[in-house]
Amino acid sequence: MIKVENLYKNYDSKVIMKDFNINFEKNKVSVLLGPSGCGKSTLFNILSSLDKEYRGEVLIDGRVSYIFQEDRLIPWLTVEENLSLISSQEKDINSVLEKFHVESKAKTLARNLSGGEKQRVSIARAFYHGGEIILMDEALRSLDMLLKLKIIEEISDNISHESKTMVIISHDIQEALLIGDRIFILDKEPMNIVKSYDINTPRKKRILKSGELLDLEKEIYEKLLGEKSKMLSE
Amino acid sequence: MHGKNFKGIIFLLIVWQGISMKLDPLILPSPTNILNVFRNNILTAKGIAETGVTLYRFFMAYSVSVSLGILCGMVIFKNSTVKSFLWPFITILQSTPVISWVLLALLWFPSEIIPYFILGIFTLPVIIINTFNGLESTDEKLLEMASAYGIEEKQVFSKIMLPSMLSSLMGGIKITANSSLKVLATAEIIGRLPRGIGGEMNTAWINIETDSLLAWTIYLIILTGLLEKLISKAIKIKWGRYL
Repeated sequence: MIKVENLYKNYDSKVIMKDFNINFEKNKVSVLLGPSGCGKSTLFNILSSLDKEYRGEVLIDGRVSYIFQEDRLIPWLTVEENLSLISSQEKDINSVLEKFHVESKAKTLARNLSGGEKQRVSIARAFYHGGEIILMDEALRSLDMLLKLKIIEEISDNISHESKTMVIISHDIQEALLIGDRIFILDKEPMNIVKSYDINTPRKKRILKSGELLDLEKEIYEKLLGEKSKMLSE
Repeated sequence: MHGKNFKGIIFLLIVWQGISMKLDPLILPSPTNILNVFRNNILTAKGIAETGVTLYRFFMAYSVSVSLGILCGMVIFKNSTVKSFLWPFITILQSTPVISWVLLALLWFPSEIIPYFILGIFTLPVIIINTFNGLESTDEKLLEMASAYGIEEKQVFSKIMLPSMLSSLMGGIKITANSSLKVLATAEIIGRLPRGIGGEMNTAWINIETDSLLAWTIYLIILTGLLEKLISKAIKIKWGRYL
């Protein structure tokens, strides 16, 4: 579980968050949708302790594993070495790589992987790290739809098995609908929650453009569009 | 060798032969004269022994300077106080012309020390600066990842920072390896050392043997090229994955 209370964060005169409150439930996947620059990545940096200059309460029940926007693999190390570097314990690297279908690349230097493989390895690294909380910052952004769907399926399988609390930053409503249990629509200056949606259909049974998801997609789209046009008119 | 380079060399040799036929051999000996010096002086047991003396000096001085340079670069990266003390000296070392150091070395040291000192003075600042710049240019995003995943500081240094530094360091090694042998021979000549390639060039100059002087010069150019290739190859084998 993650509980954020009365968070205040600024960069010089720019206030990013003011009295910001949010809760991320245990063993659930929460998705943050909102305009660029609204402070989502800043929130992740605070949750992962990379940024300690803030005011307010941040309660985190567990270790955090961070999947960055870029793969951030060490290019001159092999996939195996990249993973073993983040854990001092002897754990089975191969089984994690298998889960994300990159086990054949274990001995390959990270720099020689394709974009999709790099992203899968960086996700596998977070699962290998073993944190109870996984933060994923637009890690699927640069992938094509087919690969994205495949990775979403792989992540879904793994979070269901391993009871992880996951928070995802995304700009893709369909990605959010396929993977999230709860979707937060955010707005900026300072960051605030416009609305949140719960998705009750089990992940495995979700089909885009049908039933509950179609209605939700429309509603979220209109909400985001509304916020955007509000921003433009300001 | 590339076809264009080969054609260029043939053209140069023809022009050289043509001009040398019009001039006194003391001014410009012909390529044939040079070949004779190669056959009779350089590629003989004595010539190879003199090459060995210069190469021994080179490897001794160069390996110590590079090791010391890397160590200093790391120290000034880790400690800003040491950096603020050492940086002016490093800048002075780098910006002072080599010839000034050679002349000073003639006053300060016995002649046998001069090549080592000059090579050290020439190599050290380049390696220190490149080591420091390499460490400083470590990808911030990788360091952030290391911090987020709690990677130990020792591991961050050896697995992220040192390899990041290598490509900058290799740039420094290539620059210095290319010029060091020539600088060393210069120091041997000015220090009037009896042994080594510089010693042979000095003897040729004193005896006004232009053919010998030119032949040793060409030999030095070839040796520098080979040495640079050898060092690049060794680096590629040892650290290729990091570059």
